[in-house]
Amino acid sequence: MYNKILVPIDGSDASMDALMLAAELVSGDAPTLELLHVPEHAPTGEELGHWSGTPGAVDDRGIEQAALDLLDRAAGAVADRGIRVNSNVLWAPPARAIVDHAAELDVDAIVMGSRGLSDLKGLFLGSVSHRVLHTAGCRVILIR
Amino acid sequence: MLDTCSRIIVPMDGTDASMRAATLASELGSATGLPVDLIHVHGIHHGEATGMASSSRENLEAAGRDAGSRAFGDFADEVGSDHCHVLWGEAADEILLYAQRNGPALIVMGRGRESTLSRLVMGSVSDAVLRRAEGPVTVVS
Repeated sequence: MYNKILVPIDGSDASMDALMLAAELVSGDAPTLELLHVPEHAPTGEELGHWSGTPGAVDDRGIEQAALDLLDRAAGAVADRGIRVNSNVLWAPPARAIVDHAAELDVDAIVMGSRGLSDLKGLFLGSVSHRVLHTAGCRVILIR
Repeated sequence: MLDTCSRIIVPMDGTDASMRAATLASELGSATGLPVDLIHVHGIHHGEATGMASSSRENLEAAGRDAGSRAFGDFADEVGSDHCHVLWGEAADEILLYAQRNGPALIVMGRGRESTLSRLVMGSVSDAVLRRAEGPVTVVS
């Protein structure tokens, strides 16, 4: 049903869950996952450590490289499944970046966590996912 | 997420959004081998129930079953009648209770984006489930 799925990756558990779900859902002749990271702020050592297991300080110059590393690790989590994985980093307001990127790539669906790292823990639906849910031109699947 | 679940639960209300949720759940069920349960929560405030205040329990249950059949659509045949359940009460409460009793489960819900009253109500149900569920929840637009 879904040949190409966009998965925004921010390093949160929810985005990892979304990635694994997207890997289950994507199918067809050339199943493709489009990973996208939108740096919203300089990632903290804790956030990066969440993925790498080794918290470390990152300065501004390292943000893009940290983003690429994050996407590499995400891609590695769905390797060997016969799925093509493309990665992109975009600097823009997150919701708009996600929605525009989805339209540009003509994806069948966006699969994302309902609450990302930038959202308050108490919110049941994060501001980014809420905006994407209501503005994307394609199917949106939120994971909590 | 899915590897911790023993089943997938799809609350259905007859809307296109809930049909999309059932389609997604069906795909996930096929991919993972997890059974899919369809549930329809028949609100006690429904017109047919209040209009049937003096009806027998059997009539009320029949009305609920009919509403369930309409809500489940063709998916009822796909999952089998043992996996189709009509519940009575407040939607979010019943969905969460069912998940609690039959879990660990992934709840897959639809959510419309139109601003009609029913969509808003369904939206509020999915919001409540997202907020209160103990296990994973997936919402499909």
